[in-house]
Amino acid sequence: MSLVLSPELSEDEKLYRGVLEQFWDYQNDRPSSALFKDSNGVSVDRCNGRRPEDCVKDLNSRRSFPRVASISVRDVTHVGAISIYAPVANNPYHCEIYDDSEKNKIGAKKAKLLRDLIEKVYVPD
Amino acid sequence: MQGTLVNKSILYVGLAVTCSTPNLGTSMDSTNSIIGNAQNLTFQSTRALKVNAYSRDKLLFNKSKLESFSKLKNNWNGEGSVPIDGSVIAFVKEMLPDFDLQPEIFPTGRGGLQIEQYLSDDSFYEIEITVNEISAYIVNDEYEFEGTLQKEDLMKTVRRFYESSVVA
Repeated sequence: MSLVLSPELSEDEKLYRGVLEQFWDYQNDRPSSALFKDSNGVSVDRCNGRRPEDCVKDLNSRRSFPRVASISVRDVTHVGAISIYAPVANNPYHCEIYDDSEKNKIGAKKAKLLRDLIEKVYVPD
Repeated sequence: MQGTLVNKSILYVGLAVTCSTPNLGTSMDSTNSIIGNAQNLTFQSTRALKVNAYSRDKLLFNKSKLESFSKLKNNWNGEGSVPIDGSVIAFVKEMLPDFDLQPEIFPTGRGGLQIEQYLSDDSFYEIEITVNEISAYIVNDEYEFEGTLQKEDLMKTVRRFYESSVVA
């Protein structure tokens, strides 16, 4: 039976983004804003009440990431971007972040602000 | 140069410090005119980089990064992501030796490359280069610019950023 989640994202809900090695800025010990520059929406997993470590583990079960970053829905909204619940076949937690409701790609400034608002970076086991 | 110039003074900083030709005041009505005037000026920066920051090692490192980015395949950054376009890689590779201070380079999921340099949290540039456009976000103290650049203006913009920045 497939998991059915509310289409609404709560403001407090955390979103998790896998961080490939190529996006890690070793000089500043943080991801580059390039992490949020995608041709489609920026793929993230919503928390939906799960423990953070379970979110990270689940995300990493589909693809191995050296790091996983979290940001809140509130902060995405705060910079003027939007997060949309967009479940896919193998991932009921899948969401996408866009620049605006027209689903435009995230602009340069918003990408930088999103990077700045990353709350935590997890290093999976 | 096109786009939203949040504060039109950003490109003026380099000019104000360095140019000896007056009459810039009337040219501030558009960024294009600033670029146009800048091409005719001699820069004698008094606030340029304090040290010779050229690093051969960092240049070689960046070239090796570009080489590794050229091997990224379809879906490297999730479903739908495309490889980094070869012409973008070639463009950045050719440009790299011209940087006084080697930037950080990252791939983007749009098939492009991002070059960026943080002198501080209040003084940085992030420039994304794709086949279709070059988009920049540049902050230098109270100055801020977000918009697109023409290919031929990219290095001029980067140089102006450094000339108007104080590096500790």
